Amino acid sequence: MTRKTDVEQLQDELVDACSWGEEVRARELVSRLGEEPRARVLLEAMLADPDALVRQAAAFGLGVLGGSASVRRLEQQLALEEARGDYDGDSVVEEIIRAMGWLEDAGARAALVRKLERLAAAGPEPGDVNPVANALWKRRHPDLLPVLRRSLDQIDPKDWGALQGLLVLLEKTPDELRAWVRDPSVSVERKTRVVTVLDADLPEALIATLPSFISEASALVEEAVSQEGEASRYCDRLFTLLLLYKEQVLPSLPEEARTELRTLARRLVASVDPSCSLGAAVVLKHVGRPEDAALLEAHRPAELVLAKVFDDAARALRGIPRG
Amino acid sequence: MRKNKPQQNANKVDVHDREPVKGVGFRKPDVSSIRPDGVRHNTNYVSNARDLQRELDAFDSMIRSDPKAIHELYLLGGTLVRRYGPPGVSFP
Repeated sequence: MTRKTDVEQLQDELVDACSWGEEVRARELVSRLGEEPRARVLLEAMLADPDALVRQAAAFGLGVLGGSASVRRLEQQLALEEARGDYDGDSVVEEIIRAMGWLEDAGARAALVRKLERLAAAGPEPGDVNPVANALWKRRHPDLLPVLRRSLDQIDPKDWGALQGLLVLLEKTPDELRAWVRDPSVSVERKTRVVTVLDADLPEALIATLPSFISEASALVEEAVSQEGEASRYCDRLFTLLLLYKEQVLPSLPEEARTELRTLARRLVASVDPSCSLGAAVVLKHVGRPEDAALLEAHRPAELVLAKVFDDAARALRGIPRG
Repeated sequence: MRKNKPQQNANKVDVHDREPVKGVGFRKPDVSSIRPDGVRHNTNYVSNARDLQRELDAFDSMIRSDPKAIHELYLLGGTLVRRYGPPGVSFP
């Protein structure tokens, strides 16, 4: 096999890993592309490919390589992809924004701010602003507040999406956030948006606020069990957050909060919202007790893929290895 | 419409698999749209028929990530391999 073929094979594998969401494998493949500047040259060449999946993989790779050179090239590519005005270009734009969220170079934050300002001027949809909000949360800094407030003033409030959650997280100290999430005058929808932004990054300082988010879910439990709506969506997103960071969060939860979370999950396995009940089943697998297995079996959904989640959780609680 | 972007629910928020297979926490549906009744509809095509299990694993992952959406998996020739429809949602 020639050297060139080896490189092409690696590039193909990187595209495959990125398109399947296999981030760990994709990072390892980027490291195998070689040292700088060789890897950067290869990835930048991929940005010119007509296939959007190849360009997405290149954007991912440059994000992994990092540095101001990646920021400059990615922002340049962002303009090219925006100018395409098609679905393929949109998909690469989103990957570039995600990549910029990992870049520690200060230029990445500035590039994301410029993207936010362009979106605000154009009248975005929540689907457009959410990736930017997530990336800005990863690159958070108090300097973001004025530009974020200015952008929100320009955008129709119904389209604020995750930017509203980002604003709360940037404005509040952990103590203020604890009080805010338990404030009944704040809409559940806003609280859900905060929880959703935390998916992108849960800083150590905010882990201690999670018991307040769990208490808020407990206050919403009756509605979340019986109706598919804001309350069930809040609980669903909270379960997602807790499971995304389960290694850091679950062992550090105070006993009282862990007990409250178990009680919440036991109630919500019966939720009429299938996403919320599924999340509850997986949470119960991690914080439940053997006697909770029967409850999971009683609320097992009919659909096989979803039923398997409940079955696996029940088996785990009984200490039986996965079948 | 979304093409090859991370999976989102009907509220246009990214969703994650709460029981990820081999550490893959999110998927990218080939095509995704929201129907007029507000239901998210994800359509996927088998890109490599020799690795159908991978396609099926990804399909199941998308269902777990968003059980309120319609999910479909087709062969490239248009033959339906699998379809999931949430309870109470009619199709088409």
